[in-house]
Amino acid sequence: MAHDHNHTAPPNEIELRVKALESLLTEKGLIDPDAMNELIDTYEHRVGPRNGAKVVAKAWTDPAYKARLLADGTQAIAELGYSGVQGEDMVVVENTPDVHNVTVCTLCSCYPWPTLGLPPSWYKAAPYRSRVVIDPRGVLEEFGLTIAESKEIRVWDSSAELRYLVLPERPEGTDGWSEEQLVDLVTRDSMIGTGLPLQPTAK
Amino acid sequence: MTQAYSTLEQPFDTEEPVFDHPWQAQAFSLIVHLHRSGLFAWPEWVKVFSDVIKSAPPQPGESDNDTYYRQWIVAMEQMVASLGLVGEEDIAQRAHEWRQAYLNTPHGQPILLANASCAPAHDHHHTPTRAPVAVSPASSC
Repeated sequence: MAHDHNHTAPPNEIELRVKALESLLTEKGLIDPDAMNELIDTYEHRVGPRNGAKVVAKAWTDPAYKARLLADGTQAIAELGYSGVQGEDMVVVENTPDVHNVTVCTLCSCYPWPTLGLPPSWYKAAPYRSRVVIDPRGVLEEFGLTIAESKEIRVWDSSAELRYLVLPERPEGTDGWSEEQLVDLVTRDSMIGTGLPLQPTAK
Repeated sequence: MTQAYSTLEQPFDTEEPVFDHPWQAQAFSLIVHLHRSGLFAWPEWVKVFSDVIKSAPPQPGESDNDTYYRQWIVAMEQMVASLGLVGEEDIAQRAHEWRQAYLNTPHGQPILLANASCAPAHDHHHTPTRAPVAVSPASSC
């Protein structure tokens, strides 16, 4: 192999196929490279669970907003400027002292991108997708989340048609906190239902 | 507990990179782009993708994201084929050409598809050899 230094090692097959498809579609005028870069930047850097946290914090501090959010999630979330692919039909389910909600997509990985960003890898993986519907209490335990036996757990299956967002309970000891302060307590997992918001003492 | 589940033992709110590799971001954005261009409704994509997930389960040694994007690429190729945009043979052919382009491109230079059939000029000049490089001896009769 005397010529080793004079070529570039090709990437693996899957990467070559993506490159192939992208170049073919670009030639056909079906892909705009600028729009592609814009999308990548958006999903890498600009959407994420902080959007959802703002929705939750507003609902905690503004009863009228909370009412709108529970009545028409899509509309109320769009009020804050969060909409787009996989955010078209949003349903917000509220945790209460009697009910804990958790979301999944049993078929694939439907997830509210505009409010939570792209899903964590465990959300996309078969074990979570299959087990949380069979043994929600047990799976939540594995997340370190013990739900009292007295509490009902509801598992919501997000789909191509609609996606769920959990409205967690506002932590105690946060009376008088501003919306901006509360945002920092809202974790991604608390909006999936596999976790709870941070406690004010934990800050 | 399967290997794929091990992620559950990590802190769940640590920032993890959205994509492991640039090609995953490309493939992801490609589907979102085509959808936003109005070529298909999102539920149509979800149907194709979830069927692939069912028929192509995780393989041993794969990470969750490896599995996910392997399935994503298969579904993506099915989607563009079913829309009549690009067929599977075209993708295979073009992938082969890209591979050739890499092989023909000196390290450090941009990979251009044109290099697939014709290597670019480069500094790998042959040392002049003032003698034949091969000889086929004449036969004696």
